[in-house]
Amino acid sequence: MDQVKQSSRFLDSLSFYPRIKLDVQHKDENIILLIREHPITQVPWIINTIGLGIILVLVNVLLPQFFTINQIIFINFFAIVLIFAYAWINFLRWYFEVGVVTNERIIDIDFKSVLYKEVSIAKLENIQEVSAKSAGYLGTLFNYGYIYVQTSGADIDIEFLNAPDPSYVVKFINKLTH
Amino acid sequence: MGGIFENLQFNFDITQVSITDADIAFFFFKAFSIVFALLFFIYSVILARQTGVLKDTLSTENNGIIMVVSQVQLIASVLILLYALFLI
Repeated sequence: MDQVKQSSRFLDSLSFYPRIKLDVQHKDENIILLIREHPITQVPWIINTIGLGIILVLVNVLLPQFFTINQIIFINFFAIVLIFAYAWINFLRWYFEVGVVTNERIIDIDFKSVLYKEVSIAKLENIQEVSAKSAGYLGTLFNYGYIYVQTSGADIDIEFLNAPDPSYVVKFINKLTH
Repeated sequence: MGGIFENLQFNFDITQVSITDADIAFFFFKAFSIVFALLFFIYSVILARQTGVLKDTLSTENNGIIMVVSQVQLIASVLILLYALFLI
């Protein structure tokens, strides 16, 4: 625990002692670990965005046969903004859907389609077991997986999906709880 | 009563009005552009407001940039709506 140094950059998926604040954070509660989905799991929507951009370029070859110049400008403007909106909502979901470990609790913040907020909280003293599971071939290759936090009492179980270095995170949480 | 209107002449002849396929296509393009631009504007407003909720839930050093980008998207949606209404 003592060897862990502060590491918190803009697009980190695993940050120690990050400079962030939560709206559910207590006054003397310190955030120790911030977990986002592994960046490699975001590749599909990045590829989709690039693909849509290429399709737009190709479609532009055909557009002059059917539309006026004014309509072509509108179609391109609208398409670019739509493609950007698609990428942006995916980025927001990745950036704000986080798991947080503090000196008191484990907090899981989920946003379903960015519109529905769900915050699950478990106190460290109520945690019974923390386990990790690899996420298939890619998970083994890029070292990411699922982390399950089982709790007792009124707290609900928490899971972090596609978390980077799951075995290290499990070890880290276990040190905090025992 | 008839005296008021008897000298009025209407030069409008409905049989002389011709609507081409291009006019119909233009009308549909305009109508769909406005509808989709309006829907996208509503989506952008909701997303901009929701970004505020996200920012309040998790405050980071880079939330300013994120709010600016959301506002840019909202401005773009307004420009698209204006384009659909007045420039097409």
